Amino acid sequence: MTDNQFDNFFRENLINHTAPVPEGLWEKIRPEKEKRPKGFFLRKINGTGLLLTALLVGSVIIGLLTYQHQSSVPATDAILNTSRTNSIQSTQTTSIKSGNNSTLNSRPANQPILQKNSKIEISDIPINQLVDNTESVSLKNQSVSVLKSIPFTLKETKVTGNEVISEFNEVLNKNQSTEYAQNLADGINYLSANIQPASLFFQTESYNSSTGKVQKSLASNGHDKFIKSSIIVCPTTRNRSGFNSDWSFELFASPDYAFKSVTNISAPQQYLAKKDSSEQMQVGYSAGIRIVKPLNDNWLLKTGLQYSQINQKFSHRNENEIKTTTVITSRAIVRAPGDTVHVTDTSTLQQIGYSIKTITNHYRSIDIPLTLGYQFGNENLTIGINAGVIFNITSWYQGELLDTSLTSVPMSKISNAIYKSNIGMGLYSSISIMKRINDNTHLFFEPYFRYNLSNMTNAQSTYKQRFQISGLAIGLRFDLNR
Amino acid sequence: MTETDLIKGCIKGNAQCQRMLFEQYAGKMMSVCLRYANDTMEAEDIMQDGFIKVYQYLHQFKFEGSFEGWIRRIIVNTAIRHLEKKKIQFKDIDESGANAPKLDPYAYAHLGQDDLMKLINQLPEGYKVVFNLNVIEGYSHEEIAEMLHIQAGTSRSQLVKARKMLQHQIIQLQKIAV
Repeated sequence: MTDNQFDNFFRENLINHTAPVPEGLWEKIRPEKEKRPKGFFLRKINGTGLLLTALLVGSVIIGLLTYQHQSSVPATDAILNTSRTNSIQSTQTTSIKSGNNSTLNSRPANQPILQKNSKIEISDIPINQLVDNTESVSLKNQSVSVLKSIPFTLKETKVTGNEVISEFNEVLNKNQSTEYAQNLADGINYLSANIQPASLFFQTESYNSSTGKVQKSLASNGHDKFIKSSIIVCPTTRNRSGFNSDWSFELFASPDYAFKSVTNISAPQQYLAKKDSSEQMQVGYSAGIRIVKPLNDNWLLKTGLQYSQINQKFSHRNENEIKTTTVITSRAIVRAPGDTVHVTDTSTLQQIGYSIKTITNHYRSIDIPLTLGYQFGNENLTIGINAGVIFNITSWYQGELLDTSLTSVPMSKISNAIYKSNIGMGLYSSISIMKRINDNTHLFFEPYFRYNLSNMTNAQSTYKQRFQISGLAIGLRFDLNR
Repeated sequence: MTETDLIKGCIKGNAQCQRMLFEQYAGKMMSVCLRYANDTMEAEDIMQDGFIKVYQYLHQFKFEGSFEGWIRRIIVNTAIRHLEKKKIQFKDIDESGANAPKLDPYAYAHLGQDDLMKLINQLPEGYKVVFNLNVIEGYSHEEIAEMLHIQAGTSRSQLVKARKMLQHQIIQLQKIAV
């Protein structure tokens, strides 16, 4: 017999040999996707998908709220919306709308500018025709066009209604004494009569030095009676220095998803692979409070306190689990009538197998966020971009993880050895979409991303680990001191 | 369904194809695992890890050569990685009777597949791995040396000793039968 014959015999017999496959092996092997329960869609989507879904849901809710809000405004309410149209509309506008509309741009020199009860639309007319752009002001059967840009220069100054009117009259006298001018003066007189002794605040938005034209937004200041009777939304009170004394309070909660990154230092590759396969990130959450301090109309500062919890599923198969069963057997031996002996045997049965342990690990932390935000939009819907830092106060952990001998160890006992109790500073960025739901309350949706700058593992650890977290903060902002 | 369709279905994530592929190759691969493992439990572990890798890297299969060979290589590599964890010892067994026994082919012709499996599993770990890799899987000693991080000479000597031990065992079986 040659070695080749011997080898061939083994090869031919064993190369196609099949062995029975243990029951349930396919259940352990089949791809994860199939195992997951159908219908629970959150498990099927990754972090990015979760964010997109949340954004979509948030947008739909805001859209619905906006629609409901617009539907609920009474038609007879007067609205002063200085941010968009700078117009004041009367509660009764029938006399205005029934009249003729005149445009002064192409007006012949001798043609009357405006009939009584007509609505004026003026835009870009030369300086000697008083105006270049108008905002329509309609107050109780009066139709007046208030100049958005008027030829006299008022730069961020606070004047009384009388001062405005006197300057206005001066300009009117200088230029034309037409019926149109009279109408304008009437309108201004009416305006001053209604808001006296209030002052008018003109804020310069842009200044054209060549023509001396100033674009202004008209805002009333401190006229509670007038505001409450006819105005729903009103510009906030600002003092001359531009400092904003408002502040707000935010309350929020967020579903989070953490992304784990591990860098090997000196750990065995097999250990890291086993550790990685034994851990699966799950949806966590954050909740907290924030104080919001607007620096001006757009910029705001936020700080507060928040609690975060990252959840992680830990599954580990413990080999060589020994199950010991004690068996006690009792029997009676009758040696002769009346001579019975009771014998008790005790034996133990040991079964060696494996056990699969599945628990949820919790990584908890308390942090202080500090962010600077820029927001824009209108009173009803605001979009903001925030960026800043987040300081960890304390972190603690609960659960189990693999040690280098591939056995599961309680995390709390070794937390000092592996994970830090303070993970330091992180970067925070978010985009917020905020919808007003009543005078002082806003609902906001804020998808965010937190990037931790330092590792959560100690210097002695054989690997580096850190979590990056994304989430969607949903909360309420309460305006205070408005 | 052809093998190509089956593979493509698996790559697309078709659960039915994945199941079919498993059923088609599970028996043979379980046999491979049993030849390398020390017990059924370890074989099951190797099988599990190996098939997970098969599905994970299936998209890298280039449809060149035998698909069964490709799976077998993954399973064998997985088995070796498993055994490496326990540090395979390529020790020399001190045997009485240095000369190889002369064995008639008829002496082992009656042995069935299960008998051969048992014989292989009774070999020391180092012998068993080298014998399996060289004789059954067909790897050269140089390839085995690279896979197991040993010298090619070590592989050769382990094979010779494995063969000798198997022949001894067969002779013992003959004696018992007689």
